[in-house]
Amino acid sequence: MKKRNKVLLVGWDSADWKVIDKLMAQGKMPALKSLIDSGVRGKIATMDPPLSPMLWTSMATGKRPFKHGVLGFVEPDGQGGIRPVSSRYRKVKAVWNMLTMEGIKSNIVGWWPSNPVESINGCMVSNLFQQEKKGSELLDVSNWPVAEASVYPESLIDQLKDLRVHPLEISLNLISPFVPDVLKMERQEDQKLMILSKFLAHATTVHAVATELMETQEWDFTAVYHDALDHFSHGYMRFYPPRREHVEKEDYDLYKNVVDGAYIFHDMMLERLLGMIDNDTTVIVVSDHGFHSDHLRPISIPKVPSGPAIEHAPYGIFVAKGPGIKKGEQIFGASVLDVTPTLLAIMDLPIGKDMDGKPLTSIFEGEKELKYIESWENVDKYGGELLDTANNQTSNNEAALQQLIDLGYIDDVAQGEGGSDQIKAQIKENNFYLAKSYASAGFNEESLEILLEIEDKSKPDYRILTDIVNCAIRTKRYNLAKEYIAFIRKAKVLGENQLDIMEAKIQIGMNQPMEGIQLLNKVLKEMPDSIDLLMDLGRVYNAIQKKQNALDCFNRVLNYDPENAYAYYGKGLAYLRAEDYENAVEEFLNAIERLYHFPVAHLHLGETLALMKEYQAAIDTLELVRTMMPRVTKIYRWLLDLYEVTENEQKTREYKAILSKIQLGTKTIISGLPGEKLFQALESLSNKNVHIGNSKDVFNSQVLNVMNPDWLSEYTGDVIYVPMQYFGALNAKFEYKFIFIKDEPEQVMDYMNGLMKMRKSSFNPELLADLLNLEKGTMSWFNQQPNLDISYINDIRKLDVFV
Amino acid sequence: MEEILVVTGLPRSGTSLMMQLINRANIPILSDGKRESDISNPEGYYELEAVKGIVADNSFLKEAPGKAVKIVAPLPMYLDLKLKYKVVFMRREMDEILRSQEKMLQKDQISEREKFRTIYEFHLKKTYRFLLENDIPFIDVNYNRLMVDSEKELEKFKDFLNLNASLQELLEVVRPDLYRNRNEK
Repeated sequence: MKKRNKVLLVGWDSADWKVIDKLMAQGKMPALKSLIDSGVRGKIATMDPPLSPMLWTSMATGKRPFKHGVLGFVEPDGQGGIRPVSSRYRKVKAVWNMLTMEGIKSNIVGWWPSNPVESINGCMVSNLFQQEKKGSELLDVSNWPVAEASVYPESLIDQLKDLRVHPLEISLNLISPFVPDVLKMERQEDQKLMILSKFLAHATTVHAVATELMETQEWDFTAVYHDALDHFSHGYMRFYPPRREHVEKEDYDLYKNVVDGAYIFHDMMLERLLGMIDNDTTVIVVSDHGFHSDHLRPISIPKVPSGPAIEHAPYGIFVAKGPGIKKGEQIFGASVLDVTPTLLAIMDLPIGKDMDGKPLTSIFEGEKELKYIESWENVDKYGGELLDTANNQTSNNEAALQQLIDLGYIDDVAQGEGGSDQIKAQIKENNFYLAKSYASAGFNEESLEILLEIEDKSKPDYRILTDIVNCAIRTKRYNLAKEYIAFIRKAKVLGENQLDIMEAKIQIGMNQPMEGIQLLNKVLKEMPDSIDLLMDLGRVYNAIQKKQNALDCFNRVLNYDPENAYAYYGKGLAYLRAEDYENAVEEFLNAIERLYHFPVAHLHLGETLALMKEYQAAIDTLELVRTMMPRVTKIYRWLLDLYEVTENEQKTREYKAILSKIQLGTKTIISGLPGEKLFQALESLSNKNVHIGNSKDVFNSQVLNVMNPDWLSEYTGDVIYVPMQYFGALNAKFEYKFIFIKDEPEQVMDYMNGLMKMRKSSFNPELLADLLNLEKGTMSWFNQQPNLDISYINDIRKLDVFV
Repeated sequence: MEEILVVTGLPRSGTSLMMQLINRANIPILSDGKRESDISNPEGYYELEAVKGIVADNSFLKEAPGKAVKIVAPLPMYLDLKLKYKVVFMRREMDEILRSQEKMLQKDQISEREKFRTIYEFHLKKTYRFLLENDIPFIDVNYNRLMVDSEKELEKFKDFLNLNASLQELLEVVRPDLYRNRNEK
């Protein structure tokens, strides 16, 4: 049998490229650099909420938190109390269970959460193994029992227990590489130094156990997880250069090197691990999120559970090196959900179709053959079980709980007092994370349902209330959103500006963009450098085709944040809508240069190139988009159009065949400016027994539920009336035929004046400008769509051909 | 095995009225009589205390085959799937339900009306999904139609349950003076 290549997975919580790239450039992280030089590197996207136990469980399962069940930092212990999050709540198989089923031997060290350990094929040492005891007992180094169920097999306990390093064993000399002036310090009892010695001790223990197991045990897969970088960063990133005004100079001088020191220390540990493996071993180094180290560092931390997570940045690191993996290349589009599917692909094992992540095929040289199974959950093989725990290992749990309190992740409610309230509060908190997990996957209905259940008006929590309003807006429940905004205003839990922004989103959602813009501009006067606000405003201006206003907003964003890919993308859209294709191409390229995995930017770049008749470049771009967004029908329609124009018969046939499979049929749409002619056209079709879907009064300002991707399926007539402003929401799942009733904007203005009980011939310049803008926008949209079948009707008697 | 007849729907959607109809049709009712009639339901509620604990303990259902039991939405999700059921799902205009509940609880819930509207939409959706996914036969009985077109709605209900009761007997139960809170704003 062919020898199985080994895989080493190293997890560095919150490792961030900005710090690493600076250190590598200075030659201070040689081990990681050697991997990158002979492997691939990329950003890895985190998920909301960016909380480590949830993320590392997603990493080990390929599934989102609402599937894997690990939520937050603590969980009910089943005995009326709470305990640190454990492996008991994980509902699905982790990669070490899958490997056990396949007879592959693993070492799993320090994974968060992994206590109690599982009886896998191999060894497992949990995240509680390195945990010291709480309070005064902490001082008694000699009385430090091994945490229950923290080692599998238990026969390893004797071999491993003396490898543990206690925080009291970390001398000032050991701290001096991080705080060079520590020996000169007067305040050597500083709490900050205690934190340093504690996490240095933890990291050293984890490293010692990992190297011991790698050296003394047979293994195919080793995963070692370090939480220390996250703790170092939360403790000391505010002292990282450059110094900001609010940071005391004395503290800054003392602690400015701690973060760099921590990264360098991790690189040294990595160097040791790399020295223990052969060239055929695949190595992956990964983090669950990044950490703001620049001007994006928050000045203060919100005083709410998990408040410190505000310091986390949305992208972590991904590095891979090994046989069959590309060398010296960047990869794009990785997510924490992709780690397990990628590990399975590397080991030639099947990927569960029920996993939310995908294998990162772009890391492999050549085509990687992938295998799939429905789910690992149904595989009838032994994958390991949780070790029984007789008692509740109180001392280590308490210390771990205290640690979470010290770090600001959970509230300090005295244990034993008001216990049931505390549990209720924790369950509520975990449900809040569950709701966030649903919302971040686009399941807004599920999220809203949970949020409404946990919301308690007697204890208003701005986080929950804000998410309710946002979910209500996303699901088009505007009355619900308004009801909550009224409550938030009354309870005074959010500032007026934030409420105005919410109100603006409602107005925009209800097709009153001008009112929304007015509100956003009002807030902008008070928050002139809010990037989010400027982006929102720019998007709305783009939606109503006010090119110059949109460009102004995005340019202001770029003044503050010159690397903002979304602002470049917004500028590209503004130019595209105004049919200024050359500038549009430039801005889309600017966006892609800064954020390569940005599928819609590539899509619009492809569309723009097609409109410029740069057919081959458009084909190349859209073929790439097809791999990024394989489910978007519009791309196939564009490619078909382009292959037809370039007379590529084989590809034309291929895309026709694909489209005939994925398109749901043809819809005939009737539309036009809302004047008398359109009204008569609809009436005349109706009189001839043509059933008009969505036949409500043309001038009734009804809101179509276009947020529902299947909104058009609600209408089943022979011909469907869709107001012109909704064309952008026509989903490419259908093929469309348009009947467009041509009318003069001036006549439509007269007609609408009459409806609004104004004198028919009175000149209404605003209305006329809106109508002209709408017509212009529609013509431009028609021009920019692939393969449209449009019949322009001047004389409605000619409608007979459609009967 | 005999089926259990479950009457479900949102609170104040006519579930008690449906229990009275079932009672009149001589189907035995699983009830403990603990909740007595009051001004909101002069004929009584036909409720079973144990239903409130169905999430943790649904063993009371073992006594239910051949009988009817009222379980408001979304609690049917906790039915014991080893048993057989037929479900009558009461529906009523949502605004009427909300107004009726507000009146019954004697509190001004207008400021929370949209919250409850949304929660109830979810409850209905979940309950229907449960019934469909588990192939449990059910019928929708619309309270508003029951009031204006009683005969037609009752015929539908009779057919679904194969009832022997005369239409006249059932019509007597549907007393319009119980159709309250309809136009109260």
